[in-house]
Amino acid sequence: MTRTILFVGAGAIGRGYMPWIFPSGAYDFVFVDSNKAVVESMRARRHGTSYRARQGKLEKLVYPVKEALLPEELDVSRYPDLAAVFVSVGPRSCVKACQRLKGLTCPIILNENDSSLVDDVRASLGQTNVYFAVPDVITSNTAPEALRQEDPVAVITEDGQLFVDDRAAAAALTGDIHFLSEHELLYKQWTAKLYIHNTPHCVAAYLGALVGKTFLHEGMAVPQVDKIVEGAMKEMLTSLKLAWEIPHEFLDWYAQKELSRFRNTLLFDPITRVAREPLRKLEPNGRLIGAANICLAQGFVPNNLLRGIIGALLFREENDSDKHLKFMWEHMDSHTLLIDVLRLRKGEALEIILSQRLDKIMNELQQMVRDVAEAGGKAHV
Amino acid sequence: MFEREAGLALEAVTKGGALLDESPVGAQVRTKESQRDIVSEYDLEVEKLAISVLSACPYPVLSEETNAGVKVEPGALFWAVDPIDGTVNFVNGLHYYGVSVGLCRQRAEGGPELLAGAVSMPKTKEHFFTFGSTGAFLNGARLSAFDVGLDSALVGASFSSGDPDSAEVQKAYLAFAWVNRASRGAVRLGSAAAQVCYVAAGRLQAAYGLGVHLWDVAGAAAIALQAGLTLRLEPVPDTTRVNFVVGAKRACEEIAARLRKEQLCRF
Repeated sequence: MTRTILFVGAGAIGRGYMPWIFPSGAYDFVFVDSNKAVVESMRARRHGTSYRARQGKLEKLVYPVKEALLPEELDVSRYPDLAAVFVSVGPRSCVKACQRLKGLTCPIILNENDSSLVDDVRASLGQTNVYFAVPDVITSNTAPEALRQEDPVAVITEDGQLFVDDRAAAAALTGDIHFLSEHELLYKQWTAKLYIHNTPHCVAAYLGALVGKTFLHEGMAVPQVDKIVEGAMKEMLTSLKLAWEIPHEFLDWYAQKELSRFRNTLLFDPITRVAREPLRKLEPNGRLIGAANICLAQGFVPNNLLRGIIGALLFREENDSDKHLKFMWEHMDSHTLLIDVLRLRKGEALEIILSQRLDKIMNELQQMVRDVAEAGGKAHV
Repeated sequence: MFEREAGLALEAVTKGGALLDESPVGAQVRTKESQRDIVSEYDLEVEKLAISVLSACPYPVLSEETNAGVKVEPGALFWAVDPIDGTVNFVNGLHYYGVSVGLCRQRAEGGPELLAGAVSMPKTKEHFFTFGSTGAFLNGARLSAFDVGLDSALVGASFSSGDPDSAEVQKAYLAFAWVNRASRGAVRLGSAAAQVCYVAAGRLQAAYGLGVHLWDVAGAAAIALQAGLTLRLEPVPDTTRVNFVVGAKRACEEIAARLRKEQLCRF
């Protein structure tokens, strides 16, 4: 009998990347998502479509969908044969989305950008079979129109890797999954993902948004943006090499791999996806403020990263749940915003530096926007 | 909707709050209608600052210290400004006070429509605000509705600053005793704006006020409404005062029923 894998979250990772890692026909796939359009489309077609950018070409995967459900339709008791649950809903929605998984005995694997959520979900469910995973991949939540003609919810992903806490290995999952010890997962893969992937990735998104681009690779095609992103990458590399005992060759390889991904013209990764929820990305220990503080602790000012932080403050997208950030920025003085909203401590290095350099960086970014506008469409790919 | 006004309200309260935050201990005060109705030099200064910011949208301003008698035609927009809601707390060094701004529209009948608001509480570094019609926020975090019954609610109460020996105020004290018994407790923090903001943040589950001034609660009640909470508000005829109850729907209904029974309100 074919066992079932439940994907909670049928977004970019859930429906775009995860189906690639399991052998064809090895499992039945059940998807749960709050996006009605995605659920209805998968339900009507009884299959999903994902394209994978690999070695400069796109490969196509059409996978069967046993069921596609809205969250309120999920009744886990209907799936006694579950092999595993993969949750990819975004950190803000994770704990709530997991409430319907109470009582399951199979591994519940969180593909979320926040390792602390494992403890939160364990506590809220009162069970310990919840594990952290790091999907080392970029997946767009859309695809060019030509690829969406057959399947309107088709997406593009990459040839990535999935790293999972090896305590979930008992489930004997068949697929391209790398089980790692908690130390290896958190110390090496997660640190690299958080600071060498996530940090420069969102810097690229915020600067790309500033210069009016739609997809990440379009932003990276603007020389001024590419230079700042590469600079932010170097700042993170320098700080991680000083702060952590992670092999330098691994970090250098990871950084080059990420820059290539950001520039990948096949991926069509929307800036609005990467830049979404800027307040979350500006959390004290997160990929922008936390990353800048690591650099400062190592004794240097991350000038490129500071531009990314200001870019995040300026980000406004009408459909983004944090679109009020720019509103706050426009109507609060910078001191109030930095201390009361971003929770910097008065007198700490980053607060002093940001306060002192705010106007200068703003002027630089505004000049960059003017320069790109004057260059006309040349910056577009 | 009203994003520009919401921005001005946020700017006014945060600037006013910053001014209060820098104030030295021991503000000079004078008494107004009663021993608990006082004004400090900072009330006047913050009000002046707030009105100056709000002048970018030059609607009439109903404000505690200098424009308490302003008349507004039905359908017209107006600002309701309280430079320090909780002045007694402010002069005593208690943290429950805030600068409050609300944008209202006068209705032909009933209480005003509350369209936007912002409240800044400088000592706790908390800034509550509405943003267009998309929600209410505390320091950027979205506030959301909840529902509990009165027996599970901690309730904030506000009374009129009028004569404590009047029959109305005595009835209000009896109602307070009933709410205290029927709930997890009733508290009077000394700032209606703070209490209503705390309801919006889920720290209190309901709050009510009898005969409080509109400027005390206009900003905070707009925030609670945008957060999705229940609000009932009625004007006290021929005054700038209102009665209100706000919070979880079930708790509000129980409080409102009791206040109606005691003939303290009509909602």
